[in-house]
Amino acid sequence: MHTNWFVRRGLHAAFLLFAVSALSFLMARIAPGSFFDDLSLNPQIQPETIAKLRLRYGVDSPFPQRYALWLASAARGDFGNSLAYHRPVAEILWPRAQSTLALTAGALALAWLLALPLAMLCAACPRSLPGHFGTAVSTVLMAIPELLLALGLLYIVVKARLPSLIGGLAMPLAVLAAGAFPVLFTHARAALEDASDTSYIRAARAHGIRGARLWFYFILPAAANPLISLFGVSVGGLIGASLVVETVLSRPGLGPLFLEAISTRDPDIVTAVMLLSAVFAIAGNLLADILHGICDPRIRNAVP
Amino acid sequence: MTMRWGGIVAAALLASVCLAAFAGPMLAPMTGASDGIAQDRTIPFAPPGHNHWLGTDGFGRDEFARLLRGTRVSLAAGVLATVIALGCGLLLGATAGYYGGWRDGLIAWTTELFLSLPWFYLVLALRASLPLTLPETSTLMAIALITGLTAWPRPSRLVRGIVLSERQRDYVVAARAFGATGTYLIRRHILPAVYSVALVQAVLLLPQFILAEVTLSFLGLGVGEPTPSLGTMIAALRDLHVLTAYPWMIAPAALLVLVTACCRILAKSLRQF
Repeated sequence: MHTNWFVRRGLHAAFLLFAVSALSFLMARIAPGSFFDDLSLNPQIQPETIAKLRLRYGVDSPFPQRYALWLASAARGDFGNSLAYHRPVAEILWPRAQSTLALTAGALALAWLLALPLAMLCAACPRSLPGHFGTAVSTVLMAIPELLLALGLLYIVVKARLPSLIGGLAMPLAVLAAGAFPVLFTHARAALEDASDTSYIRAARAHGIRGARLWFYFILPAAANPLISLFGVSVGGLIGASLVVETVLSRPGLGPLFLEAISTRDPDIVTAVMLLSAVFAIAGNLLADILHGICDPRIRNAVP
Repeated sequence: MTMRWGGIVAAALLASVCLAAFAGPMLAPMTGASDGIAQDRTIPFAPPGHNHWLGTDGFGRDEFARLLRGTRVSLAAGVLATVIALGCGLLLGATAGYYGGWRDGLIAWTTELFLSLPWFYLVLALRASLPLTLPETSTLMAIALITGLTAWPRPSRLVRGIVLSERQRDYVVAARAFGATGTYLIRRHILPAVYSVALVQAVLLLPQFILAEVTLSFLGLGVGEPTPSLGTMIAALRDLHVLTAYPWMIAPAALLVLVTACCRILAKSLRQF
């Protein structure tokens, strides 16, 4: 029964990824104009060379054939060829993906480490100083998009004469965490407040259970389901936000690569980045699903 | 009670921003430089003064006039996208919830496909399938279409849930027993229950779409120069020198934050009714 549920979630994710690959392959290739348009403007490149290149990369062959070729290449682990770099896409993609993964994973951990304790504190004593502080900070941050947070941080760093921070990991990490914080805080707080308002928590209180034991053994497990769902959603949100933050703060991640590939018309890179962003987001949701299954037998044993 | 006042203030601020954006460019004195497009290279980055209320940008264009026009462009893109997203969301959500069966399956599957992708990556991929530079008028349409057509899944899912519970209501069952058709039932009995949720969704989607326009234009894939929009104006801040030395250039960013904050507060107080 258990394995069934986990296998079903896994297959579902794999099928979604396949659909994403087809969709992004199509979208990257119906784009008007191609990489070779710029080459043909260069008088030093013979038209025959361009014709040869077009033939070699199969730019003019019919769509299903190209998709089959791309799938074969993906199965080999290359994910197609970059026209601009003359290399398999995977080689270019890996270092970028690692950079983005490190950045988003760090920001995810940082945002959760800030949001969850503060949300617990706020839910425990809403009229206390940290309670008001958390609400105020999340209300302000909620209205400022990551793009402006990044620009604002740049402003502060330049004004404070700390140019060594520019280009490092600290700034994008701080911006992404600050961008994710208000959403996590608000939802986590609502979930914890709902959980601490239930009859069984009141019964636990009446039995004299209080303090850390009440919070960590009773309320937190009761609020686990919405918190886990929130975790899954926050992964996708951070991946989306990292694109802008990486571009503004010039981090060599997936975002800048994606934008570059869009403007140079390098379709295999566009497809691969799209697919990879979906892999990250779906992996986040899958992780949340698995955690749901582990934590909640009602979900694990549910009849489909 | 405080929440309600907050909502009224937010609504009033939003209304005045809209009014300024749509009537402002007509009311502003159309003298030379103050249409926001004409350049005056003799006064680059002039500080705010009584000639130029918010100073000028690097080309000597009046920042206040540009802000009025830019807000109009960004708001128009946002409102259009909201209408598209909510229209699709209502239509598809109601269809899925009311009819169920294969329609529900198909729509649920598409919804999940869309929601499994980071939204802004999806927007960019769609943008990538269009020509890199578009004529001025079609850019706005393209941005609204791309952002609107990728954002319907969330409202659609919400609407589906409400419709599922509404169609069980006694008055809906009674009307159906009297021979009412599906479209009539959806229009007259089921959708009215959805409108309040749809209104809150609209208020929440609007800043998301405005931000999408800003980000696309910031990245050079949206509205292009010389047309002012909040995005192209904020794009000037990419230059660190402009960002730090000319504080009046931050005005479009401040306006974006104001509009976002107002929408959030308004949505919050609308929810409490």
